Formats: sequence, C-alpha cells, structure tokens
Amino acid sequence: MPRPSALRLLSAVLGLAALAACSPAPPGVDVWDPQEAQNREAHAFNQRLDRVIAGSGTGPSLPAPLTVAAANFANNAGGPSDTLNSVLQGRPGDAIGNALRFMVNTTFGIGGLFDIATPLGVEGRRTDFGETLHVWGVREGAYQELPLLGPSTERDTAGLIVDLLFDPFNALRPVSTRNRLILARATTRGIANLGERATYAEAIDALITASPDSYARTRLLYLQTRRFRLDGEAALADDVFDPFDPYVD
Amino acid sequence: MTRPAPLPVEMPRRRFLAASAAGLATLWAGPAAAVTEAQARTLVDRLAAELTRIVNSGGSVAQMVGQFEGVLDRFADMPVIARSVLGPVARQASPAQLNRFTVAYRGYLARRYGRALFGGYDGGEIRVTGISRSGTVFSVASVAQMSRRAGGRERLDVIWQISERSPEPRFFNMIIDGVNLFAIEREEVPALLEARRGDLDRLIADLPGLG
Repeated sequence: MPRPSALRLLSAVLGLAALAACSPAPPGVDVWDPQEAQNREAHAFNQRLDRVIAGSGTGPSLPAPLTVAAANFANNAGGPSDTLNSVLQGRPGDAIGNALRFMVNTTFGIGGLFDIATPLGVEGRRTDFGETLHVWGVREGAYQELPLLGPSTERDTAGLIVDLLFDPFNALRPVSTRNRLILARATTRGIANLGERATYAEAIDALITASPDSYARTRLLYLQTRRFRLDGEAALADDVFDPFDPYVD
Repeated sequence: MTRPAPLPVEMPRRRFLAASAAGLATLWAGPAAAVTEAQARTLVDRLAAELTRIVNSGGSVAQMVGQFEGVLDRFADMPVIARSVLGPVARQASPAQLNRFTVAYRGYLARRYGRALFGGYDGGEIRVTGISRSGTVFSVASVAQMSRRAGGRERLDVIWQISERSPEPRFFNMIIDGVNLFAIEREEVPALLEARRGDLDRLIADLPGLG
C-alpha cells in the first residue's frame, strides 16, 4: 500500500516546510510569544480542565500500582519511536538502550506493564521528533499553548505531528491489531498523566497556581525545562548571574 | 575593594609594617577569590547529604519544608539573595527592614521550592556529579534519584551555584531540571512589590501567606 505512506511523507514534508517558514525569535529574546492572545485562551481552557480533573487535590486518587503499570506500558509502547528518533539524532548509545529496553520489557515485563530493564541497569532516553528537529538545527520557533496538550513550541508541535505520522507501530498489520495497540497506548498515557498530575500536585501548586500570572509562569517553566532537557547545562550559560558582581543591580 | 592609601614619605618603619599587614589582611578578607572550587564542592556534598537525610526522614511535606528552611539558613547566602531579588528597592531599605525581609523571604522560598523539591517524593538520594565554572560562578551539578509517593522512580538534575566572590562558601541559586530559582525570583519579587505600590513593609507582612 504505497499510497498512504506517500501521502504521509508529503504532509510531513509540507509540515517541515511550514515550520522552516515560521517566525524565528528576534536575537536576544528569551521568550518569543507572538500568539499570546490565542495561547492565553487555550491556557484558560486548560486551567478549567485541570481543575475538573485534579479538583482541589483532596479527592480520591488512582491507586499507585495502576498508574505505575499504565506509565510503564505507555513508555514502553513509545520504545520503537524513541529508538527511531535516537537513530535520527545520531545517538547510537541511546538507540541501543531504547531498543534493548523495549525488547526486555515487552517480553519479561509482560507487554511492558512492568519495567524490568531499569533494575537490570538497561538505560535508555525517552525522546521525540521535536528533539530530533533540534539536533538537526531547527530553531524553537514561537511558544504555543495547545488546548488539551499544554505548552509547546512551533518546533515541538511539528515534532508531535511527525511522531504520530511516522510511529513504527503504524506499520503493524493487521490494521485492527495496530488500532487496538494505539488505543491502549493512548488510554494508558492518559492514566499515567493523572498519576503524574498527582505526583507534581505540590510543585504545580507552589510554582504555578500560587503565581500572580499562571500563564507567564507556565510558559517560563516549560521553556526552561525543555531547553535544559535539550541542551543540558549549556542552556543555562546565558543566564549565569553573579549577585556579588559590584557592577550589576 | 579597599586599597592601602599611598604611604606618607616620613612614615616610621613600624607603622609602615603595621599598615602593610592591615592592607594585606583587607586584601585577603576582601571579596576576591574567597571561595575555591574545592570549597564549593564540599559545600554541595554536605548539602546533598542533608537533603538526602530530609527526603528519607519519613516526615510530612510540611515537616520537610521546615527542615528545608533550616538548610537555606545554614547553606544559602540568604542576605545576598534577598537583596538581589529586591533590586534597587534594597538600597532604600533600612538594615532592620532588610533583616525582616530576609527572614520572611527565607520562609517563602522554603515553602515554594521545598514543596517542589520534596512534595511528590518519599525517598531518594542526592549526589554531586560534577563542577564547572562560568566567570566568577561555580555550578555544582547533582543528580537526585527520587522515589515517588505515587510509585516509580525519577531523576532530577539539580545545579547549585556559588560565587567565588562570596565571603564564605554558600550557594545563591538552585536550578531544578532547568527551573532557575534565582531567575524566576528576580522577576517575581519586583512584581509582588509593584502589586503593593513598592511598599516593602506590606510585602514583608504578606509573605507568610504566600508561596
């Protein structure tokens, strides 16, 4: 069936072309947010949704074994995609680690419900096509907050779309098996996210909810953590500031 | 930095020696190169051991936050952090006002970042992994392997920054997975002040209810 994949390739290439054409940040600007009005609307929607889901944080939470198994399954189901992206990033160590983890956890970890690889010392690195684009030299683009999906950048959103279109699981046949697997992954990811929300409840409350402008705070935290994830300590180099320096105030 | 004044020609030898000694002492005690790389690393080694003890103490989040405030008191350069986040307002404040702000602000920082650091976890280990230098600032990297209250493990990268100009080894910044405390606070505190029309006393009074 060459037609759908050719179509996918075309749409991805078009997506990349659109990305290359999209708003580069002016030099020296830390936060580039030309679509702020739209983003704030999405943020208001996400905040309402978060209040519905997380409530006041005192409601009954999902049992830990369930959220852990769901997270294990969803992470493991991302293994082939992680492996492919590691290869595209030219990181063979990560690619081998991700592939090994996928094999060990899919077999001995009963389809990925248990993470056997970590205690065995088999380490990988979860990644995405947004990171691959970064490695290839594509700039971050403008900041975005997407309804449901949360904070992103133009580059990360393009990466998300490519990850969906080019997931190695898409090649699975029969189609009914592939669809069931993709549904299972989406469901477990949702449950895992609820567990994450509970884990970070204190941090989110302290750093975002208690802030006078939760939109600006979310934006800053996302960009800081994402840049640190992609560039490590090099991401911090521009921000080094010595409070003992007598010439600054 | 104070420099010895030019010597009067007829200065007696003994006074000359005393003055030189005093000048040298000023130089040694001055801000130049006061903290060495080894001292910065030792500081964070002790800090990491202390944080590991707290996260494994089995206490509630509120108790851990209380202990974290003690850590800030002993390991962080609180007066310098407080002055720096206030910006130009610090220069108009009286020393007594600055002291009260520093104490209130320490509690606020402890609640805010203590909850972010300990809130989701009930055990773990923090270890120093390396040290780098950028201008006058040492960045000591540490890795926290934390176990989540909700199950599973997680890695946090925490970087501690220490200025070599500091008179004693104390940190002025922590960066958790890229989240830069000092950069955030230098934006947030002026915003909090502005919301109170620059009234520092009102901010000091309000801080215990914030964070």
